[in-house]
Amino acid sequence: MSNPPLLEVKNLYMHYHISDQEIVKAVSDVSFSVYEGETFGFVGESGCGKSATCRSLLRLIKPPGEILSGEILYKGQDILKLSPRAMQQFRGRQMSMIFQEPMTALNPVMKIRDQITDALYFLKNRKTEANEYAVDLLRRVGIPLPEERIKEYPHQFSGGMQQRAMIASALGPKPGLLLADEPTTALDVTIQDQIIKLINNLRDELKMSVILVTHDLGVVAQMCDRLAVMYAGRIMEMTDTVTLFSKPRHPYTYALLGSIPTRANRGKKLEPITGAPPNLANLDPGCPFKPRCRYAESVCGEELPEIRELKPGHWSRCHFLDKAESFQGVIEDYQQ
Amino acid sequence: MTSNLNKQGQHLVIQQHLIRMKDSLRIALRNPSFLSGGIILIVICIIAFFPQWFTDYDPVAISAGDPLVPPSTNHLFGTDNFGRDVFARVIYATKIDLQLAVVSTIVPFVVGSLLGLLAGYYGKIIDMVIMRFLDVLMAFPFTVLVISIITILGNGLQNIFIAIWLVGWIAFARLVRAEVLRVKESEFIQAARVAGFGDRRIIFRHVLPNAISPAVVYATSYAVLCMLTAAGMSFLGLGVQPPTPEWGSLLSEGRSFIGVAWWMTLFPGIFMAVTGIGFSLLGDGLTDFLRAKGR
Repeated sequence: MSNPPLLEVKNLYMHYHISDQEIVKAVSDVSFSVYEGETFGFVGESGCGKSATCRSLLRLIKPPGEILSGEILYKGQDILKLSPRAMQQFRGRQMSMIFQEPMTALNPVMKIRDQITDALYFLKNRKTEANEYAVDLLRRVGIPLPEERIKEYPHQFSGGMQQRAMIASALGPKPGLLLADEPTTALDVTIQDQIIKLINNLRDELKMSVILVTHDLGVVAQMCDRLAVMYAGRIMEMTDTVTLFSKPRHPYTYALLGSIPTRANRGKKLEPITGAPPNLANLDPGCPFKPRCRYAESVCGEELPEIRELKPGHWSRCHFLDKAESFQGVIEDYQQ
Repeated sequence: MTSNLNKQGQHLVIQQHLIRMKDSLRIALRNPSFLSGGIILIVICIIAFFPQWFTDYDPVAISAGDPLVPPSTNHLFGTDNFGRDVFARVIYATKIDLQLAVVSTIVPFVVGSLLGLLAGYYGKIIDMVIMRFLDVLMAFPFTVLVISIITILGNGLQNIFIAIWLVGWIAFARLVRAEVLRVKESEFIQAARVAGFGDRRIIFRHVLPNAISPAVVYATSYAVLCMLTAAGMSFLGLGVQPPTPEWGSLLSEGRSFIGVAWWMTLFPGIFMAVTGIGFSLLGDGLTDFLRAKGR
């Protein structure tokens, strides 16, 4: 980690201006770094700003959404300052993205081949060279008989195959960073496992970095090197995966880990997080997790805690970091 | 061993492909509307392009000898008040009427789809301008607007085309715009943007093919409308001028003699109706087929 990070995001704010009275603060004060060759995860409940963060990185936010401030440095270059034309060149080639629903993210009236070869701007001979390249890509993502399947349309593929094809088309231009927005959510569990392994292998093979957005802690454990727990548009805790699962330092992380079945809490009752996430258009001044936090004290409702680094590489946003260790027993044994 | 298996598999896949292609052809042909509409239009096209195969009579030559002769083996559809063979006139009129139907559909189809595409995709000011202009045109009934444009431009085949072109694009623009609004929110459009594609490529390669099918289906019924409008204009004396044969003007000529020579109006009317039915059936079949394919 001594190398400079591939991607460095500093104090990113992205809000939706629904009207003058209603401003949805989808992403607030998000800072993180992604190093070369690693997988960085975002976890959290629905609507906590994971996907919004992801889309901000590619500047895919449409009005009324707006990136208010912050820096997104990719290889030291601030992509928020790129012209629309340069941004277009940037997308796909430097940073690409795969989506949650492979069925809707592939164009139904185009052959798989065309969807892959269209993005291969660097090949001159479209007919033969691009075709070979695309066949090779499909073979890499594990599609049997790629020479034949490449001529088919998306509806002739199964869900898992569609996701593979989408990964192939995203990886065509060899991006340095792949954003995976819940890539396994729409798939059944056995296919999920295959896709996770596939992304892991491709990351190592192509030496790229991956940003994974998911609400599935199991997927996170299998894929991520480091991760950030998001809540109400803010990063609550950020550290490496092993530390997060074994020595979490934020009440929200405790609550998350306590709400899923693991070997450690076998036989015990699962503890759900009571209540619902706050409305992002109407946030109280204090800590957004305060209403649902069992350790909350009066200060939590008045003042938003700063995110602090309690050990190198381990960040957390809580007023009681010193006491946090004693809040709940160590959750262990989650990882295989 | 593996390569052998592979080969077998490839062979299987190729076979499946052939079956699939045959299937979609068979689905299309099994659809009774598509099949019958197609056959009718093919026959009409043959008549239009090779009228001389069907009759030896000249459609405009006047023979003073036998005016208003009823249908017989000599004159299949009888003769008109100038002694011209009605069958020959109906046959030679097919080309003009088919041309009216097709040409006056294609131009509004292309222009309207393009404008609808731009309005739907870019929205904002472009959408506002195109749609408000369209609203103004929509306020007038179709036929009234066509008649008034022809009145300004003057009679003649060309001016019928121009009038229909000027009015016709609005329906296509509306249809395509509505589809574009649906399609452009799809995830695959965002995926295309993520891949670094520009607007032009996204519009023509990703949005258009997904948004065009309702317009294609509408085009078939619009062709009927155009044909009838053009015939109506000729009937009113605004369109094709005599002695050029055209179904609408044939009807108009026959009107004065309908008491003594029913054949002068009946046969052009039947031809017009059959061609219209052909287009409609084709459109129906196309709807079914596109729906089946879009599944």
